[in-house]
Amino acid sequence: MQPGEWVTGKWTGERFLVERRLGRGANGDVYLVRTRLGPAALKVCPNAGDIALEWAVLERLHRVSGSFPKPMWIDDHGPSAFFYVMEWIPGAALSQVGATLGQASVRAVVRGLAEGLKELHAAGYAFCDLKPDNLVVHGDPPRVRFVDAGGVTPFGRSVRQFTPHYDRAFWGFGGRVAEPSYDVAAMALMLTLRFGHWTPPSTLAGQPPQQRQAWLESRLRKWPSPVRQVLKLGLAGQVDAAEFASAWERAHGGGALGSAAVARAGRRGGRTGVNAGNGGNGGNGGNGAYGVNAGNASAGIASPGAPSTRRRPAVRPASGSSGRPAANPRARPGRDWTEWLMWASLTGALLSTTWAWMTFLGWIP
Amino acid sequence: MREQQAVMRQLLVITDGCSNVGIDPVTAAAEARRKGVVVNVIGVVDKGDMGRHGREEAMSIADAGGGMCRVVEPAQLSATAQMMTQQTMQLTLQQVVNRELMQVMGKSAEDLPPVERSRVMQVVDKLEEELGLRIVVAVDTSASMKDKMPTVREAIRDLAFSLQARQGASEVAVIAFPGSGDEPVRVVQSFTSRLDMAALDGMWVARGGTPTGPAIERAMALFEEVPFHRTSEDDDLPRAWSDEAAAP
Ligand SMILES: Nc1ncnc2c1ncn2[C@@H]1O[C@H](COP(=O)(O)OP(=O)(O)OP(=O)(O)O)[C@@H](O)[C@H]1O
Ligand SMILES: [Mg+2]
Repeated sequence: MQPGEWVTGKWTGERFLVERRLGRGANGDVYLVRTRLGPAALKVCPNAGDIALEWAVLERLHRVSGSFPKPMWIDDHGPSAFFYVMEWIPGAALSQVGATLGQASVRAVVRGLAEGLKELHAAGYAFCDLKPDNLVVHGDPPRVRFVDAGGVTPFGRSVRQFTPHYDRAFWGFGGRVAEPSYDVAAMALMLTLRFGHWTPPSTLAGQPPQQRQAWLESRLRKWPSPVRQVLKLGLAGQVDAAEFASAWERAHGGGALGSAAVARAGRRGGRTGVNAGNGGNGGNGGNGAYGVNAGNASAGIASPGAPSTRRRPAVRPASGSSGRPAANPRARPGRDWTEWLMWASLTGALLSTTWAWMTFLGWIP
Repeated sequence: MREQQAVMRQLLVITDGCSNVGIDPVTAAAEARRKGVVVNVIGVVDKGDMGRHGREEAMSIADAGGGMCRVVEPAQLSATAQMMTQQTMQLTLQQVVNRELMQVMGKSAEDLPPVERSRVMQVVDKLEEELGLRIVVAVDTSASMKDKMPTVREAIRDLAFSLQARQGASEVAVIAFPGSGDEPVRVVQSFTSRLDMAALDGMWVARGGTPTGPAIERAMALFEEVPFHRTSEDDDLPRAWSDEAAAP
């Protein structure tokens, strides 16, 4: 897709004017488009399956959590490009601005993240591929929103998509089952690594998790002790998202009282919270770079995030699909349940044959 | 659907060069495919290259084995191995479901309206999680692999670790080629659902050529020798539903 190009949906007939690319992931490209309802984000990818699954997840989640973009349309563009259109979330990825955020902003991000995760977890899902690239922040104090529902997994299933540095199993802190503590650990890892500002060396790939932990420990030591304790609780999965956020707040002298105290300290020119280097930045520490003792405040842009390990990957591209209209009319929203049931039983019926096929054909056409 | 004891079988070859001992690996891979085992190949290169021959052979093995081939640096090995394993499962399921849809409705998933397609995909997704999986990882242990061994070991650990989290039963076996002494291939770890890392420490680099073909044959034999572990609740199911996938 090119800026200036009109995309017409094969099924809905909706037209979208491509304005510019918003981002690119392992999975597909996301463009800012103009629709008849205003600006929106269009995610396109060569695999029908990925798009279809993410759409299903967004449909379910935007009702339980305001953190995800609202899904608008799903459609095809020609025979081999599949896309959906969703709410455009203006702002910048945390991977881009994370290292420059002030302490107060980071607290707002932690709080917002915890709220989003709380809603998601209450609905029985883990985000899994939680990383700075997949979080967009906007405004002041920043509001944090999730983009990329591709990793969202029901509790109890295996984590389908993850990024090694934000994967607790990579560091030897637990398994790859989708559960609340998996996300909390990712949250702690994001903070430990300063939203991607600290990049683990690639030599860690050849080391067992115990040795990788030694490197992580070297980063943790750069945080003041109360913060380090909180991060460790999160890594070990001993707190839920909300507990983690309030512990984080407390470790920074949290709460209204805390920030007042911090502000007083700032006026006296003392240390403000975690940041040894920003005492002079005054206020409640809000303008200080989000630095720790190493305090490299000038570092503006974080290194680009590593791609996700995509365990939920490609579906074979369509083999010459025709423009034939659907046999079944489009589902009305209210019919969801029954239709699902019908589909389930139909598929169930198909599957008993399927298993036989798989077994007896030995999987190969 | 507890009768879902259909098991997918995969072979993952990790190498950095050309075979030079024993049966042609492409022939062996074609035979594996015929018996229902998908063969994937990862070429690991450190800065340099695999050489044209190595690369072409890797591609041909994957082609003949109905799988895919990637050439990556050691740091990417772990991610690549997991991606391939998963992708192979999904593609296979997708093909089967598409074939069924084609029979019943005369259309493939891509021909369905997107909203219905998304329902089909959710079912495929669930199946993929519940499917039984057996995978043999065949590791090239010729001298040139020496520096890459620690990374290979970690990648195997990581793959096994991911598979452990699946709801469907999964088993991993590891074989090394060349083995030690005059063994062309050595079974480092037979099929297990919980990989013993100590066993992988015995995966040292050995003297000898690169018997990729014999390794593929050995992997096939291993599939046959060791029955798929079935949890107790499945014990009374007919054997036909286990991994005794009849050859076509
Ligand atoms: N709704 C949206 N509004 C604004 N920007 C978005 C939106 N969705 C995605 N983006 C931008 O596009 C980038 C890529 O999108 P996304 O993460 O969905 O792709 P992906 O292929 O799934 O990536 P990944 O490699 O993380 O799996 C995001 O990092 C984000 O910057
Ligand atoms: Mg992303």
